[in-house]
Amino acid sequence: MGAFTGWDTAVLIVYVVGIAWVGARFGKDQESTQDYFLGGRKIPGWAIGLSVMATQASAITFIGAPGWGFEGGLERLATFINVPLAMAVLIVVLVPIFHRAGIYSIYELLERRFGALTRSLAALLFLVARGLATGVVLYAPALVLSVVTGWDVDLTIVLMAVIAVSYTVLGGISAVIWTDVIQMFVLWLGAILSMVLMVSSLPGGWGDVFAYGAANGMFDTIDLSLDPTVTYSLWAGLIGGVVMHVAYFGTDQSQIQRVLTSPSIAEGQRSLLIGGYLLVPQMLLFLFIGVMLAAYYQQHGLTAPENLNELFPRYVVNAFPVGVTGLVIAGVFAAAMSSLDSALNSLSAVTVRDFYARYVRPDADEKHYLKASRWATIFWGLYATAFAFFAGNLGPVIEAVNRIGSWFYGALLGTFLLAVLSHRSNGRGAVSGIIIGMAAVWAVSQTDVSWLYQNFVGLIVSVVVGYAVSLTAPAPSAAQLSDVVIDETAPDMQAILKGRSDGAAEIGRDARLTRRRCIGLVVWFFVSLAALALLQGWANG
Amino acid sequence: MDTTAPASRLARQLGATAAEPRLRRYGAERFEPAWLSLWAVAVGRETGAPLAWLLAADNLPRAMLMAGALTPHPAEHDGALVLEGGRPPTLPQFERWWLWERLARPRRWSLRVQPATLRAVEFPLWLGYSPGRRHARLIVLSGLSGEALGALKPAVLAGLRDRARAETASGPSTRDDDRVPG
Repeated sequence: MGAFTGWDTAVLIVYVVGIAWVGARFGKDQESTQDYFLGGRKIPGWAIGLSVMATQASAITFIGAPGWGFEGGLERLATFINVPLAMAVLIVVLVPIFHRAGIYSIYELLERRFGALTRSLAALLFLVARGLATGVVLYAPALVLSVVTGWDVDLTIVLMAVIAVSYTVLGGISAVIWTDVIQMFVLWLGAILSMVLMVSSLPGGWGDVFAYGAANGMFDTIDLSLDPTVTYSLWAGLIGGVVMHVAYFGTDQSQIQRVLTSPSIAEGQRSLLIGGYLLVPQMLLFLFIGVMLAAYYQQHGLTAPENLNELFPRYVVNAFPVGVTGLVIAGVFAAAMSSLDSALNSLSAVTVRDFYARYVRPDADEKHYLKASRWATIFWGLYATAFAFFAGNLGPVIEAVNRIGSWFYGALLGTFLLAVLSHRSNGRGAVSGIIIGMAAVWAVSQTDVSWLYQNFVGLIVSVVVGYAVSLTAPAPSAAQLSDVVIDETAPDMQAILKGRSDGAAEIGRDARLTRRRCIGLVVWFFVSLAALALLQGWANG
Repeated sequence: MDTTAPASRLARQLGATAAEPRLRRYGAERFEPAWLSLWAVAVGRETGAPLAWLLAADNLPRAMLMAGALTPHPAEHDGALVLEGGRPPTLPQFERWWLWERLARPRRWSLRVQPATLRAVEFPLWLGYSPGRRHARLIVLSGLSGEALGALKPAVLAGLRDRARAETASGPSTRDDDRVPG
């Protein structure tokens, strides 16, 4: 114990080569099966769930959340407690429209609805925001490598960028679900093992952890303060957090791409459902590790590293048995690659589809576009690398990603909601809404108001301004509304449907009725909230 | 490729008994089988067998990707509603659709559209009718997988409208079918 040994290095190399082999082997077999195309229809649901989690969380959670938990206990769970509600909103409101519109990039919907300028502006915001966030995602494994090897973090950032871009340009090795599953198992194994080791090193075991957490207010998750300057109040999490997560999972191409490329609405919704159920428990686990690390550091009289992102990697290297350290660090790498691959690919796809093929070379052949997409990947790799050098100054990596998104997400979501819900809004209103919505976010960010509320401010301002400005220009045409207006409501269509319906066979009353799968998500939200309230109640006597 | 050849049908794999509870789940109270004419082209390695098929019509915004073999059989009159899905998309249109699919999933980069395979097919559907609160609603269910296919809804509605107009123009006609095959 105590260092990253030669054995660990060997395990790391074997693991990475092994994952590459599994990816190549399964990928090859899948070419003749439906799974290759349909994202695993024959693969069990739990495996798909872990794969979704691998893309959504991965290394950022592993590194960022323990640092977060160490600093503030479970209070920051307020940021994530809303995820089940956000997923329910997405499943009901946005996913069916996106899927029915038959779009490859969600920004296409904005062009059909509002015109080319709105599409380009929204796509540009995505590129800027996701490019910056990818810098943070790149920084996370680079930091681990730096901690493990003792090399300078700037050097490891460059090294990781080269690996990540090469990996993406070559098509990715973990494009199959099973490699994501292995990575999630390794990360969770690392999390559980670290809990066991920490508890066994404390004289009072779990009792010490809970006593320390309770004494230091680390289980105070639910803060009912109405003060908008309280960063992690329940209301900030509910009002701002829901907006942030609906926007993150629904209007960020890197996240919604999985839904858009799924063969049916139900399959697209399934991946969101899985995230809706698993993201909160996963975040709770890693925040709790942060609480345990705080108890561990206090009991052993240790001094925490200045950069809290280093906290958990340092613990893994110092405390884990030889070989297991290498395995867990390799899991962090592989998971980071999964996220980086997905982010760089979506950045490249939006660059080519929404800009290059739209404005620069509309009629080039496919070879040209594929080449362009590889160059775009390299460009975004460089962009992310440049930002990764600054990512260490942004605090816990997980919050850094969300804060960057908060500059843009509210206004973007407002524009999508205008497109879908208001049939009077038009391109002039949409563009004004985005710009003034972001200006309002900037103004709020200069105050002490919680950054979580920025998302809500951006949403409200962009919707109100967008609608008001729309009234100064003509209403959109029927063609512009075709993606968001169901043409079955037209009087002649209603008559046709009623005519057909009258002659069609009746569905038997004995047919099983299972309604509204997302009611489960809402119930899950309240169950999670109640569990946290109970923990908080216990901690405060 | 011969775009004038008669359409063949994909085998309906979801019977009425299986479709009924699924449609009910979406709020439908009545239902009927239907066929929607579409155009299919294979994707695969340049010299290899087809690995998947793109199904589309010129008025659809995007092609549907259907994995595996296409095993059509000659169209026979089974009394189900037959709807016109649209005209054949051009080959460059299919190629462009496939390009965007591939950009989203890089592992498919090596696969190409196989132009010689273009053919007309009739796609099996189950149409569910829900009275709704304010408007009657149509639910379109795949007769292959049983999944709701919202992307095909505009094409089905257009097909229903064209059919109603044709019937009006040619005078009252009897329905194709008054019963649902099991």
